[in-house]
Order: sequence, then structure tokens, then C-alpha cells
Amino acid sequence: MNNQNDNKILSNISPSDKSELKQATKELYNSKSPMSFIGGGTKINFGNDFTKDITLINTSKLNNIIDYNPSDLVVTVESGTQIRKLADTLKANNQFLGFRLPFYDTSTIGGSLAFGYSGTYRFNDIHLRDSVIGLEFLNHFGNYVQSGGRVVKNVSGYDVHKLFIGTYGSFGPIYSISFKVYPIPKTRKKIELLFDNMNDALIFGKQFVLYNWNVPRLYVSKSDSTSKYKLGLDIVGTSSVVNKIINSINYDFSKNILSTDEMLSDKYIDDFGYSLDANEILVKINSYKNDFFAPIVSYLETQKLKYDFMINPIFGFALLVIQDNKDLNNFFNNLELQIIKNNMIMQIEWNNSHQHNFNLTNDNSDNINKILTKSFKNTYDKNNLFSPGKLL
Amino acid sequence: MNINQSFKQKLIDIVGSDYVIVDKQDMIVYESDGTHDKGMPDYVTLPGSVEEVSKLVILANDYGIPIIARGSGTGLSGGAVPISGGLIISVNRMNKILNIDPEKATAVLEAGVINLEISKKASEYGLFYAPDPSSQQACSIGGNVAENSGGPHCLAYGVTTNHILAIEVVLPTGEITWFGEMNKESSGIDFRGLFIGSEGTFGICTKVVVKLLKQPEEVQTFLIAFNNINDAANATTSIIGSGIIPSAIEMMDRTASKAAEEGTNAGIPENSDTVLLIEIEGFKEDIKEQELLIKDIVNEFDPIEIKLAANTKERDLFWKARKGVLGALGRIAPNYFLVDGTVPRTKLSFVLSEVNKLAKKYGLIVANVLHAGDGNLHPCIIFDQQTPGDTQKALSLGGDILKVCVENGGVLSGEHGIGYEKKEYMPLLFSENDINYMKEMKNIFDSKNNFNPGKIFPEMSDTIEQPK
Amino acid sequence: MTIKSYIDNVKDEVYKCVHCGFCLTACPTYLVSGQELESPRGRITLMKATIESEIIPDSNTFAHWDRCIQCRACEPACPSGVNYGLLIEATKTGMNEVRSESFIYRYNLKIILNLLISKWFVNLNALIFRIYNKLKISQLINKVKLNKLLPKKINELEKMIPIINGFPLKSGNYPSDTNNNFKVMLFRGCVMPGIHGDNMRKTIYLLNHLGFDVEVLDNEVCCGSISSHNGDSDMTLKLAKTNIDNFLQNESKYLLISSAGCGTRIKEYNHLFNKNSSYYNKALLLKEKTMDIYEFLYNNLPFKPEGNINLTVSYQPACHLINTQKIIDPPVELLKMIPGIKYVELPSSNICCGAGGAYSITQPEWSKKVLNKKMTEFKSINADILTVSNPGCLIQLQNGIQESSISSDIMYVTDLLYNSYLKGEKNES
Repeated sequence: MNNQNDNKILSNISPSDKSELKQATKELYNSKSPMSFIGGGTKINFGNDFTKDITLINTSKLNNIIDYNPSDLVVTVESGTQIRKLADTLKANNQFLGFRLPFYDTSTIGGSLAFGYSGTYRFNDIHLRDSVIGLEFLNHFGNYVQSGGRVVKNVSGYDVHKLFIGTYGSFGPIYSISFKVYPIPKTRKKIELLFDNMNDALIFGKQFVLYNWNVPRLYVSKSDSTSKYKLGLDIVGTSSVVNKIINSINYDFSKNILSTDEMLSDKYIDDFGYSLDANEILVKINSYKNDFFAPIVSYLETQKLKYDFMINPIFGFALLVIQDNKDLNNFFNNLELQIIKNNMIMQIEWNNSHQHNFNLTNDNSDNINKILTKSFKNTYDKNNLFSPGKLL
Repeated sequence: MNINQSFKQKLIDIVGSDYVIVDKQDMIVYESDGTHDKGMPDYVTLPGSVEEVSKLVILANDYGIPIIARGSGTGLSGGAVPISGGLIISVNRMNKILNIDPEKATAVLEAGVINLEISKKASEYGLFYAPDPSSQQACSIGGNVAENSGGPHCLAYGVTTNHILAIEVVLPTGEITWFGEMNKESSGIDFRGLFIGSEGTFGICTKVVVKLLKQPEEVQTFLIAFNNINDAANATTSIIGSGIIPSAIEMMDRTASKAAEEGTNAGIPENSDTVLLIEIEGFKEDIKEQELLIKDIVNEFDPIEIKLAANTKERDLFWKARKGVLGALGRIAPNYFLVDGTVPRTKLSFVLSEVNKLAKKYGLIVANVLHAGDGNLHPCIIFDQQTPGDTQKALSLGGDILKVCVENGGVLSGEHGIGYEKKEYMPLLFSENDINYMKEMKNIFDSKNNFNPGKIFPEMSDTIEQPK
Repeated sequence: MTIKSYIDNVKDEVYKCVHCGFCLTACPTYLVSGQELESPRGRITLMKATIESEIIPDSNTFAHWDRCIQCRACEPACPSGVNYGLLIEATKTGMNEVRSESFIYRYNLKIILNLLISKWFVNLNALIFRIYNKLKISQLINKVKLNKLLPKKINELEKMIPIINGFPLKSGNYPSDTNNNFKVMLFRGCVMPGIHGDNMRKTIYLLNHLGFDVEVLDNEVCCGSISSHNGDSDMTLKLAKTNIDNFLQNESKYLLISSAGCGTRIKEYNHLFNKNSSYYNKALLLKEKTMDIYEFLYNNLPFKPEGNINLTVSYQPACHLINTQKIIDPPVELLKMIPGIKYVELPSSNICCGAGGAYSITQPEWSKKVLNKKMTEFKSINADILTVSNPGCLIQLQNGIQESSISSDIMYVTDLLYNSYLKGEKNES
């Protein structure tokens, strides 16, 4: 982890239980010390830079499963619980979160929530924000606040917990999280098909957009071995349904199939299957218009940048891994022009302190959202001490 | 408040005289929603566009007049009732389906579009909109957004907020803005998620982008009669524990199912005590398999009869019995008070026995109707307003039932909202800190407390801190 | 008496409403206005407020009740089983009483009602309209641009003059060629025999062809729905008694009705009488004997139609057929039996077209709004023929089709059945 600007991490505190978390937060806030929160530390560089020197509160010791009754399809965990630990616990009861979070071995559930990214594998488009049904967190007085609950259907009061999803710890530390969970589908199969160009692969992939439940992962990516593009499909369900969907694929398997993989092994699928090197940058591009991705990929080709990419037409986003490069700023400026010209992108973010938000609707909305975000910060973090600068 | 002539004239200038109602005799129809709460508005308007809504909001701000947004007025928590007067902005004229995109499986709707109309229109493309409140034939999508509505099929599909991608809202300042994106991945504050379920206290929703799902290949519906409520509750837990998530598991106890049978002749056996209505949806291949599995599980709980819907007509009849049960209860006594607690589904059986004990204690009839799969109880307290003291008795029984729900890890409302009706119960579930956090959020959006005042938050200033 | 006392009479029924709002989207006037005041729940709330003396109904309140088409689509939508028809009828009776204090109103209404239900008047009108149609006066008016000169109201009324088909139907016996000895009465009603005489004859021939003997009684009178819709209960009672006596005396197995509004009225004669009255039981007897033509055909069809009709056909059910008599499938199933027909469902076909008896005359503006919505929906399905099951619907929709320059035809379901059976015969020979 390299924090590239001048602000320093002053110290690192690891509370070992709920009351220690409260104490640490309260003391820091009262002494006006800026702070942020870290789980596995895999995503600390995403979002904007910190604008102040900060103390990190490490949640890794808060890693207990608080409550889990499989028949309720609900689990409540401490925020520092590792994703692997949670997934293993659920798996023992044939359940899972409905999505597969990246950085499986190192990430924590609290960090994933703060980052708000649910990975590329999602059963019926289930996202973190759909799964979280309750939260317990500390406010800027260092007092615990509860939102939601441990039941799947709840409209008692505001959905305050939505405020903590994707806001990088800007509203204080999370202590516990309650999730809805789902039964693991019985059969999983993975297929990769080869296409001569990316567009064909994308168009072919579109027919599965409506199979959300049964095709939790679909991506277009560059084939390693050939100059072709591959369309990857993960298909889940009962064996008869999985076969039915595979049989419905109107494609000459004998000719161009790359692989069919009976995913009976417990191999975990991460976004790219590997962690980033120090000189690699992960770029996430959100757009609902899949035709937007083609120009980006062709641009990367013409620039002769070394890259890897994955486009997910179901959720409308692309992930790029790019070798660090001096021309990067140029590249993104160019991209920005494209975006404005096509008026189709919504958001691009990448690590190393860059985040651009482009608007779907109009500047007015963007402006109002910014003003509201400021009001939220002023209200819930009076002295701007929680993850300062990350959100705004 | 006396009708201020200049205010009235300005309302007419904005929406036209046909769509402004100020006659007290007429406004009486806007006094209540689906509940028994009442409040007389000072003015009622029916704007035709978001721009008109925005102008109305700015005008009301100038005059310091509170605003109450209203959809079809089918809510069950008093959310659309103008408790302290004010201007009702009714979105019913804004009822166009603007676009359905079959490729992306989304629909863009005006706020007044009727829930059922979405699925009707989307069915042309083999799609449907999943959340199906019992009032779906009449309720508006804008109202669904305000209340974060549920429905029987939310067991498998999730509630309203899971299906809304973006909303256009008019904020209490009169500004028009969009919250949310066509894509769930955006970072930053999820204003969309905060606004949904805010019960009209953050502003008025004027347009909605919803996600549509593919219609299932096949549907199968079971009507299962049990000897007692415990068997039915345990069967529910076992089915879900086995890894099947039916699209709906509904339960009716003896009182409720008897009334439903009288109203519909759906074929509930004479000697039945509790009835489960289970629906499974999906691929043909899965349905056969799940059907057998469910039968096996249910047979462990000594069922009186397992009926499978032979055709669409019979399925509709089963559902008619369930969805019309509240009306059918009117046959027992003229008034009912509907409780909406949710508990972890493994606690259902215990909580239901507590509910029945309480009913006995109060000497009132309670008919239990449940979205059992979600643990969402609807104990329906039956009483007669004309009997002196019964109304008060029914209300305190309702409060006691909610206490039992909360004590067992549950919440005050599963799908109807807090509104006016349940606001005094908020301290049962939330500490002062929790409530204050929400109040601060209200203050960010609506610092003048002009939008739907008198809802959600308890009146009493000293809320009791509950041990966690 | 005040209007309150009339509504008080149905108080128990009023309080069955729990104002859930399920009825809203079943109501045609709510659908075109989005106004709670023009919905069943709104109208019941106004009644409740009257009972509780929260309001004193004025002309404004009356207007909301007047705008009810009485299609009763809210009844099947109501989970509490509120008998809305009973409520609105009581309210209308009350309104009529209040208004009748104005001598002119009472005088006019009486004359109009009496005229509307007298046979000679209907036949005379039919004759006048027939001449009007024949001479193409309508086109003449347009040609000489007279429509620009005529007052708007008269112009609207002019457009509503129905197209007359055939001479009025005469009473008498219409035996079949068979010896089945299965005899039915066919109710003529007021509007249909004069204006749609051809259709009534086709219905009789169809029944004869299928082996049923038909009798049209000379001593039948108006069913009473026009007077009860307009709140004249004395007249309604008088008419009901006459009909009950006459129909029960006849030896025919069934009384068949080809006008849904009349059917509902006759099947609900018992509502008019006290349970102790001898007429209450007689009314129930008559109810058992009374069948809508489609209900009868569907259940008693000896053989299926065979003549090909290669057309796209849709169907607008009569409100009083589906909402009160609950006869939903029979007309559609009968249509589907006709070889060659492509049946397309009309969107929101359960919603009224705005005809509602005299509604199109008393509430032309609202009737038009409701009709326009219906026409937009009809246009969207591109059908060759729109079939109906009631004369009011036919006149209203015919008007709509002409106004919006759609080339589709409109006819009764029985007309199409008649055509198919006739063609079928030809094929056999």
C-alpha cells in the first residue's frame, strides 16, 4: 500500500472488542484527530486522497460471527470478519452471500461494505446494498447507533445503513453488519467461448442479461493465447437447468470453445484471479451502455499499453488492469472527452487517488448531490475527522 | 387556516383550476388513506408534471404551508394523511409508462403509474416487476418508493428498494434532481437508497426507473392445510432451511382461513386449522423437483391436505382467498387494526403463540395472516368501533404485540411503514441516539420540517433508552 | 326528507367500506381524472360524511355522485364485498327527491322518463332517426357547414343520434322448425327493439335455428333501470311488479335478455321489496328463470357454429354483464367457437366505455373522456370487428369509432354468431 501524497499515517490502533472500538473512536474524535478505518487494507487507496494526516483504526481483531441461524437466512458479523471466514461459515450450511467479493483472502466484510463493490460474480444482480439489512456503527460522539435489524423485511425508520455503503468510512466506523444470505446453487459450470472481435462477444452475451439468477457471472475478456476475445459464462442452478441453458447456447462448440469447466472444485473466483502488483493500476468503469467499452479497449490497444480487462455486460461495468504508465493522465483526459462526447458514462474510478464522476442525467443533479453530500458530512462528522477527503 | 385567496389563485396559476380542490366538503375525500387516521388538508392539487410539482413546492415554501405527497392513498400507516393540514400534492395524473427497455430489462415510469400496470405492460416482453403489495391493483409506484413496499413475492425477489435503480425527486427546496444510476456500482452516498422508504419526509418522488425480471417459465402453487399453527410454522422453516426459496410462503390461521374460505370457496378443508399458501417459480425442470421436495418436507408435519393448483384459474382462486382475506374479515366485525411486525422466521411459532395469549388476555379476536417466509406477521385485531372502549383495547393490544416482536429480535414494521400510526412505538426498537441520527437526516433534506410533518418520529420528547 | 335520510337507509352497507382503495383503478371516471372525488371510495366517503353530518351535500357534491356511470366495476374489485350499486342507487333516489323540490326539474324528468320507456315514443324516435339516417341529414349538416352554426350542445347531441338498423321488432310467437318444445321468452326492453330491430330478429332466428321456440311478450314493460338510475323509485316499483306478474305467468322455461342492463335490473328485482312482501319471493322466482342470452347460449348450445369468418375480432363486455351478473367467459368462448376467427383481447376491457344508460346524455363531457380512452386502446389492437353484448355499448362505441375515423366494424356477438351459423348452413348444402 502506497499512499502517494504527502499526508501520513500517524499510527495504527487495533481495538479487540466493541467497547475498545468505541473508546478509540471517542478519544480520537474528542482530541480532533483525523482517522480512517482499515480491514485487510486492500482498498485503502481507492477513492480520493486523505486530506489530513490520519490515524488508522484497524478492525482485524473484530472478526467474530455474532449471530447466524441458517434457517433465518440472515447472518450478523463484526466488521473486521474476513471474507474467507464468513464464506466458509456460510458454506458449511450450504449458503453464500449471493455475490463473491474480491480480495478474498485478505479483505474484510467491513472494508468491502465501505468500498461498496460487490465483485463480478453476482447471483441475480444482488449487490451489497441489497444484502445489508442492518448495521451498528459509531457516530461522531462515539456513541453506538443501530440501523435496520436482523429481519429480511423492515421499513421501521430510515434506511440509515445505506449511508455506509460505498462511502469509504466517511461517516464513522462500522461495528457489526447483518446480511441476507442465499442457498448455494447445486451445480456450477463455466464456459468460455471465443470470438473474433469484442463486439460480437458483447452482443452474444446480451441474451444472458435476463438470466440473472442463473448466469451470475458473464464477462468479455482478451484471450491469453490467441488474438481472440473470450466470452465467459458462469452458469448455476440445478444440473438440469444448467444443461438446459448450455444447450440453448446457439454456438458451434466444436469449433471455438475454449473450455467448459465443471466447477466442482472449491477454487475461488476473484475478479482476475490474481492480486495486483505494485506497478499495476485497477480501473473500474461503470456504464450501462455496453457499447461504450469498445472504444476504451481499442484505445488501449492503439496506445500499446499493457492491459488486462474484463467487461461485465450484466452489471454494466468494466475493470481494467493497466501497467503504471506516465501517459496515464493523458489517457484519462482523453477518456473524459469521449465520455462527455458520448454522454453515456457514469463513473470511473481507479486507485492512486483518482476518481471521476460523470453524470447520467445533468449537471444540476450532480451539483445537488454534491451539496447534499457536504451537508451529510457536516451533520454526521462535524469536524471532518472520519476519512477526511475521501468522499469529497 | 383560512383559505388564503392569493395562495389559492397561485395554485390555480400553476396547475389549472380543474386540478385545485379547496372546498372543505370535497376535500373530505383526501382526509384519510387505507387507515383510520384522519386529517383535513387545506388544499389539494393534482399537478401534471415535475415542473408543476417543483413550482408548487416553492410556492408552499413561500407561504410556510406543509406538503403531503399522495399516491393512490392505499397506505396502511397513515403516511398520506395530512395530520396537521397543509397542501396535498397528488401524483395520480402523472401516470404514464415512459419507456420499457427489454434489452436492459428496465422501465421508466411516472410516479403515479399503478404497480400492476408495470407488469401488465412488461409482460409484452416476457418481463415483470417483482414487488407485489396486496394493493398492487391500485397502489402507485411513487407510493411504493415512499414506503419501500413489500408483498408476498418479496420472499424470493426482495422489496421495492432492491428493484429501483434511479428516482427523480423534487426536494423540499423545490429543486428537481435524480438519485441513483442505471447501474448499482456507483460510489458516493446512495441517496436513492436513503430516499426510498422515507415516507414522504424527504421530498416527492416524480419518476422512477425500475428493474424488470424475466417471467418464470412455470409456476406452481400449493394450498396446504395443517392441524395447528406450529406445524405450519415449522414446515415453513424446514422448507427454507432445505435450500429452497419459494417465491412466496403465506400463512392464514384458523380464524383467517375460515373467513377466506367463506368469501371465496377456495377449497380449504373443513377440519383445517392453519393454511399455508406456497408458490414456486422457475424453470420447468426445477419446479418438478422442488414440488416433490416440498411435499416430502411438508409430510413430516402431518398435513391434513396438500392441494396443488390444477390451473391458472385455481391458482388465482387460492390467491384471491389470501389477498382478499382482510376484506373477508369484515364479515366477523366491522373494524380491524392491522399489525405489521416482522420477526426472524425461526421465532414465528413462539411469537404467534404469544400473540394468541395476548388476544385472550384482551378478550379480542385476532386473525393471523402472515408472509410467513419473511417472518412478516399481520395479526389482524378485529373489533367494533361502536362497542365502547374496544378501539382503545385494540390499539393497546397492537402495541403489546409489537413489543413481543421487538423482544424476539423483530421490528415494528415489515412493509407498511411507521407513518402516523406507529410513530409512538419507535422507542421500543430504537434508542435516543438512533432516533436522533434519523432526525438529523430529516433535517438535512427538510430543515423547515415542511414535508409530511408529524410522521415517523414520536411526539414525546424524552424517548426511553433501550438496552441493546 | 333530506338526502341524509336516504343514505342512512343503507348505512350498514356504507360502513362495510374500509377505504382500502382497491376500487380506484376499476373506476372509469377515476382512470380519466386521477381524482379521488370521482372514484367509488371518494363517493362512499362523501356518503359517510353525509351520514355523520360532516358535510351537507350541495350541488357540488351531487355532481360527483352524478358522474358515477354505475358500471359497478368497483364491486368485483372490492375485498370487503361492498354492494356499491345499492349505495349509489339510494343516493341517487335521495338526490332526485331533493331536486324534485324544484318543480321544473321534477316535471321535466318525469316527462323524459315516461317518454323514454314508452314504446310508441321509442318507435317514433326510431322512425325519425331512420329517416334522418336515410336522408343523410348528418352529411348535409356537415356539407352546408351548419354544424358550425348550431350550438355546441346540439351538435354533440346530433352526433349521438344512433344508426338505426331495421324496423322495430314486433311482439309475438317465433316458433322453430323442430319439435323440441323448448320455449323461451325474449325480453325486448326499450331501446333495442326500436333501434336494433335487425339484431333482435337475428337473435330470434339464431335461437330458432338452434331449435328453440321464442315468444316476445306484448305486455312486458320497461325493466325499470332508467328510472332507478335516475332515482325514481315509485316508477321502478310499478314497472317491476308488472313485469314480475307477466313473466311468471308465461309457461316458457326461461326469460332471455339481450341487454345486460335490463338483465341486471330484472335479476335484482328482489332488492326493491321488503323480505316479507309476496313480491320479494316472486322476484326470486323470476331471477331463477332469467338468463342473459350469452349465458343461455353457452350452456344450451346443441351444436357449434361452422361458417368460417376470417377476421380479427375483439370484444367489449357490458359492465352489467361482467360486474353484476358475473357473466365473463361465455361471450368470449362463443366467439372463439367460430371457425377462422382470430380473437384479440381489448386492453382494460373490464372498464366501461362510458355509455351507462342515459349517462352519455346527462354527462356528455365525462362520457366522452371515458370513450376516448377506450378508443385509444381499441386502436392499439387493430381489430376488424369490435363485438359488444349490450345496445348502450353499441351506440356509444359506434359513435366513438365514427368520431375517431377507425375503419373497424361494430356488432353484437349474436350478429357474428348468426353470420357463422348461416354460412355454416350454406357449406352443408
